[in-house]
Amino acid sequence: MNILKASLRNAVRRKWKFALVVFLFGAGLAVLTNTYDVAGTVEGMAAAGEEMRSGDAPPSEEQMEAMARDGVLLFFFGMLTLFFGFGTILFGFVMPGGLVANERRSAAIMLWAQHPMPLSSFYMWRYLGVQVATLAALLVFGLAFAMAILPPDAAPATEVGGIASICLEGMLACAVSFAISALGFRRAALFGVVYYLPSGIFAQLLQASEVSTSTVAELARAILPFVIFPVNAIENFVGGFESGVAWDWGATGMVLYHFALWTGVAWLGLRRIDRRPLKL
Amino acid sequence: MQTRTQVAGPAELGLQELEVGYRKGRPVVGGLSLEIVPGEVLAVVGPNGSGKTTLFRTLLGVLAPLGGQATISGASPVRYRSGHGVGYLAEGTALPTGWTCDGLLTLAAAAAGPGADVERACRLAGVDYDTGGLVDKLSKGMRRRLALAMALMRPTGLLFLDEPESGLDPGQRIRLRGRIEEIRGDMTILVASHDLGELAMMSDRVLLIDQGRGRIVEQPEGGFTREFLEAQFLGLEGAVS
Repeated sequence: MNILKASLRNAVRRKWKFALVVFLFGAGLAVLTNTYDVAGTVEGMAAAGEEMRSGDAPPSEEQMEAMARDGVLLFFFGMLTLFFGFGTILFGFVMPGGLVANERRSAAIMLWAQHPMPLSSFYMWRYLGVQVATLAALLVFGLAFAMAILPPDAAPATEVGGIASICLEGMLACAVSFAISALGFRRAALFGVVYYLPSGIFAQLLQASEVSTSTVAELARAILPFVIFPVNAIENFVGGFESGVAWDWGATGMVLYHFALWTGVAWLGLRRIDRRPLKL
Repeated sequence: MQTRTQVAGPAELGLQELEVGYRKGRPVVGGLSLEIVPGEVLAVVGPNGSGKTTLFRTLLGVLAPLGGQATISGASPVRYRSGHGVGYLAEGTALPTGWTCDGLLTLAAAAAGPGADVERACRLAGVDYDTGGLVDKLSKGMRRRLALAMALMRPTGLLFLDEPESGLDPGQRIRLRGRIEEIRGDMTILVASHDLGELAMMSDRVLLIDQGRGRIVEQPEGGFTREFLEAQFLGLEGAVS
């Protein structure tokens, strides 16, 4: 328990600035969406574009000014959404900070290996501390997100799914990054992001290929969900929080499988380090 | 939290035709046979790259012997370390960055398990500065003392000190010797160093390593002196050449 607490405190001290930046993007998003009618602006821009394409009458100077103003607004909205969305997932990947691989390479691991506690248990406790700190920060990000997408008078409970999605993706990113570090890779966060980004593309391709009956498409649908970062499964899982939507047990199982998979990979890596703590 | 700790008395080491190194067929040190009695302070001396650290790593159980065998109180080094724990101050200790001294001491105490005593460890290691700050801001000597405190976190039967005086000012070196005097007898201590004056004052015997071989030097009448050890060291083939 002391290890968990010490790791949690350390994680907060090391990464609070990163968390603050991500939170500020979220807060900015919340302020923007609650101050301006972003959805209405998007619709207005689309309508104006349609009008221009029809070529009935050239847009007036006022219309042009309004479009430029709306364009700037949407640019800010897009940037904030991008930075906040990517920031929350990147935060999960950087939280473990390659802790196992770095300490093994620098021989700092001998500070712990000389004591009787197995390194596998020691690092798993430290991971838990980091994961608790990650969850706490993700919950704050989730609240900022909920404030950003909800109308001011709506009940916060209606966006539990959104908050859960942010928390699950961030925590799984943390688990992936820790597992990569336990396997001995120092740039675990970078490898994690390299794994995550194509996973998002594959997830979209899988959704698009749902109607296809070709062997390749069927094979991809059968295998890829077990391999790629489960963006679709998390989306389906959190969909169950909405009223009137049936709980997706398949997605629940898939999310649990990915957590178990990466925890198992981390455990195997740590067992190897138990036998050979130093990288010689 | 599961630990397999047992508090051990001073360890007894037995080395039989021990070969240590990193590649099969290319031992750094070979044919090493000796008994180290419980509570002994054995100095390990040799030129740079002679295999002092490699020998320590083998006795710590993090490097498998290439030949022969080593036992610590009847157990293999790995089994002894995982059962009782050892104290190890590595050469040029790298401390994890971004941690406070208190945080690292807490981790070490938790890893050491029952019997860990942070206060005693800090006193023995001379950690007399504010431990609330980041380790990144410590001087080399202060880091060294913190690492020593982490090595002395719990009473253990075996302590390895690899160039313990490195980075310490003269005052700290003298105090370190005093602390070793304080704990000698409670544990078996192996200390590798190039400071022959310090070693002369603290060692019971000296293991001279050079050119892949080891030789024990017993205390002469009247005890070790710096001059005596220097003469022994200069008599080494490698040092002379």
